Amino acid sequence: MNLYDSRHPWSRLIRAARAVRPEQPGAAPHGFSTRVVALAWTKGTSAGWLLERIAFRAVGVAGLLAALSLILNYSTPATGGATDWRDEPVMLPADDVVVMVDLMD
Amino acid sequence: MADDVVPFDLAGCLVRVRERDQQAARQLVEHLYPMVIRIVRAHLPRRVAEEDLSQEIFLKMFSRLAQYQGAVPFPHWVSRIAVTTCIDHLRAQKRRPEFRWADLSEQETDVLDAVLTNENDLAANDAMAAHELVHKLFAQLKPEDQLVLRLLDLEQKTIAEIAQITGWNQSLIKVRAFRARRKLRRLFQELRKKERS
Repeated sequence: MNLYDSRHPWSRLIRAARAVRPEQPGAAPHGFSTRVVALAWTKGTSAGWLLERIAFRAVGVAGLLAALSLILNYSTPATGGATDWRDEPVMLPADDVVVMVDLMD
Repeated sequence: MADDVVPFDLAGCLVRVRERDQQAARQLVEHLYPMVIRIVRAHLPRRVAEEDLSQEIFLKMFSRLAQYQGAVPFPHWVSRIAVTTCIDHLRAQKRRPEFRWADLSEQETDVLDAVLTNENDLAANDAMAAHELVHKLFAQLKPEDQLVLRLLDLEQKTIAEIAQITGWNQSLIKVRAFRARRKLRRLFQELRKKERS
């Protein structure tokens, strides 16, 4: 039997259920709109405030990182420049002629 | 005439809400509350207070207000938020309670027994029990399917009206109604077998 045949159990059940009229919704409970609006406004404001705070912190951290990288990049060549290249041992390439003379001696 | 009701200026109210006028926002909530609470009461998931759910719907409405472009009337846009929120809560329940004869009240058992065993219409004083039974049977369906069947069969809305309320296209609504009815038919067959055994 089709579900929408008037003799089907579902048809008779739903017909009877429709007789119960839903309670007519009245006005919002006292203070409901005030609470909702306050919550919505606070939520919106707190989200904006949080974003602002994060943004300011991000600018601070970025500035600090930029300053650190500048210091590090300038200090490395400065310390490298203090060493005289002439003080470092020079590795001379082995000369074939010198080696042969040494062997003959 | 002095007792004429002044129609609510929704467009003007929305403009003022966007300018963060708290009084306009309160007026908007009060204007839309009957529509929202009707949806909430019809699709209220178990263990969720109707006031909490309607509050959540209004908070979503305010947080998404910037996204409203006016493509659909504002009350339809809010009703879609309400429907989606109810479905999300119904989905969150995950496990649907099994429909068992043992869980029915005495009057509900009598009503179910009557519709399964004879072809007479139910008595007027069985309406409340029938209403409860229908809700228990709806709870066996997927949230989207129960919403469609509730609007279609219980509230006798047209497919076009359901499309407006839910924002779903008409083919999808028909598919969901078909699926829900198939499940209900199977459920009634099982109930008949259990009733006979």
